[in-house]
Amino acid sequence: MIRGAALLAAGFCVAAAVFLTPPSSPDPAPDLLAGEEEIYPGPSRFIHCPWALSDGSAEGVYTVAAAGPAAFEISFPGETAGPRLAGEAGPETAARLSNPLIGAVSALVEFSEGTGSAAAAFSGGDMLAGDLCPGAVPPVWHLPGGSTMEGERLTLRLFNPFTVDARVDLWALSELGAEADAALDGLAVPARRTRVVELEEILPGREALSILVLPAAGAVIPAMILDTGDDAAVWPGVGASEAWEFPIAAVEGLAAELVLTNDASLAVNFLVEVFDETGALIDPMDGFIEGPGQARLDLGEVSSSGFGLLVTGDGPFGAAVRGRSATAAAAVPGASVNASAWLVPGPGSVPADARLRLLNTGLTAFEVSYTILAPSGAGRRAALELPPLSVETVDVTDSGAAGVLVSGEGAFSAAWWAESEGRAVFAGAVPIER
Amino acid sequence: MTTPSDPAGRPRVLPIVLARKGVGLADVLESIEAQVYETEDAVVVADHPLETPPGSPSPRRVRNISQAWASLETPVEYLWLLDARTTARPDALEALVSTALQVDASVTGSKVLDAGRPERLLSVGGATDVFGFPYTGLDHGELDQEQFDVIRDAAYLEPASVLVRRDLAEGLGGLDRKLPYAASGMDLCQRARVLGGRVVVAPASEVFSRVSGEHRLITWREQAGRLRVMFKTYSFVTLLWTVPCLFLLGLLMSVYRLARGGWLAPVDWIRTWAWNALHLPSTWNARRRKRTLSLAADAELFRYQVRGSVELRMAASELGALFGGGGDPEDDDPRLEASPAFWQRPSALAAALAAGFLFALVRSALLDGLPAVGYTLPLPESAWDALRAYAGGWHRGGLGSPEPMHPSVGATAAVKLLLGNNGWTASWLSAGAAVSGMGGMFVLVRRMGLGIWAGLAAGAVLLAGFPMLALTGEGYWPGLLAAGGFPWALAGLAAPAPAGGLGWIGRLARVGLATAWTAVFAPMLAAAPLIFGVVWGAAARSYRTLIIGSAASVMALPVLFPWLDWWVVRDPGGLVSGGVPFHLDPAWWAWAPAAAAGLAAVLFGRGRPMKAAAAGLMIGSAGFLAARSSGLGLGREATAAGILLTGLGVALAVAGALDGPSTLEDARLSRRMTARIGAGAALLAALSTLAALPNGRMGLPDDRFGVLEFAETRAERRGPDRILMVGPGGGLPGEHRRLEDGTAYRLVGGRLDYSQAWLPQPRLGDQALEQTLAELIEGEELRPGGRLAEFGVEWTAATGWSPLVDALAYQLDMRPLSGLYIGETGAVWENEADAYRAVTDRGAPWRQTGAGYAGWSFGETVRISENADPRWGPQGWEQDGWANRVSTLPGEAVFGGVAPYRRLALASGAWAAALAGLAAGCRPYLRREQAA
Repeated sequence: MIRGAALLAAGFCVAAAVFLTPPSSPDPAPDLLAGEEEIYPGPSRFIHCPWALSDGSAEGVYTVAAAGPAAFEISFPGETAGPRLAGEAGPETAARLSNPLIGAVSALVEFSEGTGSAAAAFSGGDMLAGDLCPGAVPPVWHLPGGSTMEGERLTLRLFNPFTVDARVDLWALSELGAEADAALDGLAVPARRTRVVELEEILPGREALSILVLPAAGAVIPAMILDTGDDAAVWPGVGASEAWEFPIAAVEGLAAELVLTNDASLAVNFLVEVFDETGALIDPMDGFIEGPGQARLDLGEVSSSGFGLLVTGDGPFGAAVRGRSATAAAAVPGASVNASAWLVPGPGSVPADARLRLLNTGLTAFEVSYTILAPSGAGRRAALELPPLSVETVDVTDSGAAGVLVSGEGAFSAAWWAESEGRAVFAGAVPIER
Repeated sequence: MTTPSDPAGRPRVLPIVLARKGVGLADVLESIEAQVYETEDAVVVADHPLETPPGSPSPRRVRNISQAWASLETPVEYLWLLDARTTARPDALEALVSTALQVDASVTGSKVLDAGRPERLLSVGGATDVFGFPYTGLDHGELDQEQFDVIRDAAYLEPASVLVRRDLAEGLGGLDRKLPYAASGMDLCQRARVLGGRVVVAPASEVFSRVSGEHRLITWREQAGRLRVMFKTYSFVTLLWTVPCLFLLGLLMSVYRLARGGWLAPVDWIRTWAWNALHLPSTWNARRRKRTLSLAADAELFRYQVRGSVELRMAASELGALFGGGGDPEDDDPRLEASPAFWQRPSALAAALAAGFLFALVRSALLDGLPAVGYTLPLPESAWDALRAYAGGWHRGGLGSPEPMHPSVGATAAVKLLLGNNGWTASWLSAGAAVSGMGGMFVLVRRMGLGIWAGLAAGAVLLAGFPMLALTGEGYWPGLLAAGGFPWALAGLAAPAPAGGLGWIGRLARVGLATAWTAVFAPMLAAAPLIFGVVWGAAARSYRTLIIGSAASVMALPVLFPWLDWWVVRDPGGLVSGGVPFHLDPAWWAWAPAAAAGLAAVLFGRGRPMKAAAAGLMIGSAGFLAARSSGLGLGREATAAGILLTGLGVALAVAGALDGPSTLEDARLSRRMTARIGAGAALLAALSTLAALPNGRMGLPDDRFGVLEFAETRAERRGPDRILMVGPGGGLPGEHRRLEDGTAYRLVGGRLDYSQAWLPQPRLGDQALEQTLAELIEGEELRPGGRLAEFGVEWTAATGWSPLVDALAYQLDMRPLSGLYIGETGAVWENEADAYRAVTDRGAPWRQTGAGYAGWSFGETVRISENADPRWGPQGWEQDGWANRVSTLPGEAVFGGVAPYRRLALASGAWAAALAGLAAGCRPYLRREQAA
């Protein structure tokens, strides 16, 4: 009997046990697609400014704007006993602070409450330069639009404000194709330091030189500075996107060029739609970007007036426009989204005529209002009608201004530029309402 | 009165009685008076006034032997030394003198019989080992049947009755009065030999001694005396190796005796050496007086010594009794079988194999300590603080809780306290559990009617079979400790019935104690005796096992309080479903031999082997089902118990299959062959346990969290700070919690120790932490250190990939510690923000103490980053979010304690002590009744 009972019990238990499976592991698996999704370039708690410059003859200025009440602090990682600047910004005010350090520095703008945007600009001497400071950190940085021709200095600043040492690979794309150089691989960027790469020393004589920054460990925030001798252009890196809007593709007096970069192994086909200030209809242009590689479009023959662009592709890519004249140099990456409200830090930070450019790529007209933001409070307010498929330019020159808040009833994109004594600066804006 | 010398020229003898305080001399003097051999008047050597019966003449008293013969007018040829507790037959001296003359002996001893039971032999002289330990050659209680009645040379004689040539005694300087009874005899004999004298025993001379205690030769004073004898008689070269060896041997034996319940053994060992250190000058002086010490003299001593250590043989004999035929620990006859023939017995071979297996199994744990992995964590530094926390104190797991800790925390802390807060307690506990598990399984199998080899195999399979390795492979140390008591709890059920009431009380107390020990480490196994009682009761057709099993299960429950009380009151279901479960999923080659063996034994075996295998099959398969039922909602405790039951079942099945063929001698060939195939499979299953030996730590994985000691080494005055541990759930120490997305994490409060292996139920602070971590993962927070500082988290340690690791990939205030890895891929970050567990409102951190925190009264209040509980104090408590805030005035912040839990913990400790006391107290009764 015991024999039978044992066999019966064992048979039942083992048969039941065999069909019992363990619960699946609740541990989350690493998301292999993490970072592939596009990062929304909106206001952030942390803004990284890889470049600002002050010297005896010129002044660097930080402007900080926020859609809501926000307190912030600007610190300078890596600078021993570096000062800290504090301020507040809000819907009616924007802050403007002079760079307290001499030389080229990197700064971190940190909001203790709320979120915002910041820009760094430099004026004086022979230069007028500036652009937005990035907030989010994409997995691959695209910096299209450089060159290292005779007399030009092309500097890449890799800013690592973080506590972790970073190691990055640089992909250089020029008219010669993908460039290979040991000096571009495995660049270590120690924590809380900025590494400066003088590209004209590594790859001299390149007419069009774009850089892709691929972090192997840690993260960096890059910025490119092109010094032509007469002027300088500075522009931040951007992540890849399948669509870019350029409210400023060209301004009168500057020969513009669109540079597109592709970090994937497959080519990306693109289409460029042009929106002229005069309302003239201009045929779209198309082409492809080799994978990996860059594509350049000379916009000089497109129109004699100012115009904006919408560039779309069948894959993600990076894009920037640069404008050149005999004396001026300016560059700006595109806006990867359009939105119904934009924060535009920077206008007024340089002693030059500042203009806001608004691009409506939609099919309906709507009203757009803007407010000049100054440290002392809101300045001029105005509204305008933004026709469909058009760009509009607004003069926002105001010596006391530090930024502009623009909002509309439809989606549009915004950017600003300034000109002074033959020098120019292009700069972007930050979307705050999708 | 002096007796004239024998006219026939017979040697004159002076009887000398060695007096002892409190021992009357009438008997010994009377027996001297009654001697047929005429002697001088007896002299008593004493340094105290003599006690003589009123009216009787007082014998002459001298202070030492030299005085005794110096006072004689005519020199005597022999001295007859008699212990005061000795009485002699009338012809005893006659025989001594006759033998001495016959063989020209310098020292001649009598045969010593037990004065209480004259038929029992106490000594017929004997050999010693090199460490001076006497080897009598007698069995325990051996009767005198004249089997030793030949004149023999001996290494030592008991000084009950010894005839010494006077000139030799003069040369030796008499007896060493600093030495106790047996050692003084050995001293006399060895010094006589060194001087070239012959030492013999004269069995025709019979005396009766009242010095008949079982352990009269192994008291610390005797051991100390033997050591002094060595110092006095051995050459310097011999001492060079014997003394260190004896030092280690004594240490080893004291540990062994301690394990056997001799609580004073280590103290005795210390006293032995301390006594000799104290008396070293006199020993040195005595040694200097002897100029004959040489290697040649040592060689003369070695001629009468047995090889090796007699003490070690005795220990091996006792272990052999456990592992050998008929050896049953409840049949606790301390028979000291130390004869060389012992090693030729199967039980000795089994004992040697078991010892070798166990040493190989635990060697790394014993020599290097335990790894820190899974639930195998260092015991709390202060056992006392851990016990206080266990008894209604503050549970430091997570962000703290007043919830009672796991009962194993209290048990291990109590053991550590008993061992003097020794840092090696965990290793000793592990090794002890392995030895106990092996021994218990052996005894269980033997009591189930199976053979020695089946018991040995079953012990090996229980400790190192695939179920136990699955458990230890996960680092589940409590499971290993439970295995130490588990089989003993069941062995008590299979034992024959004791004879009387006290025996029954002893039996129940033993079974209850073993079950309680098991249950504190694996609470669900409190039911194991009940289950086994049902199964074995059915197999053996005995209701008694069911009754004892039920009683044992019930008796184990009180030791689980207050932990059990908390679960029963708050979440009874959580007892079964709580914790991260195990899932036993062995490879086919691991379980197939055991399954084949069990099936063969049940299908083709008969008798006891078949019943044992059937019981194993039932228990093992039920355990297997439980061990794989995590998907049905069984939690950690239930699945761990299932794995241990599987281990027990496999061990029984293997044992039954191994013994199966022995009962089938008259069966058909096919049946016998099938049973032999089953035995072969069982042998394979048993041999597969050898795979666990290279590891050397019972299958526990490599150390993983030892590196977390950095938190201690880098700790500032305030003590080690909190560590946030992240990574795959299986790679975290002890229990862990999960965020909604499945991300596993846990907090470690400073030093990672065993008391934190179990996490209490989440409270306010834990919920806040969970929300913070979720935000760190989802948001774009670049200052995670600032967010974690609120929780006192100074360190973040990753054991592998986690979304939280990605969140820390780049940020601004958590500094990675380069070169510090946990496992192969993990990393550690240090918080740059001020992360204090206790900080005053003026920012001054307080240091951690055993009971809470303490610091200067700098500020008015101090924030204690522990889950809010109004029992924090001692003064001015208020809730600060999820944390506590108390007044700084007292200079300390302590948790007041939970009185009901404290009382329950004390009661459970008292219950365990009562069980232990009853088990120990009734042991002699059990023996006596069995002997009767």
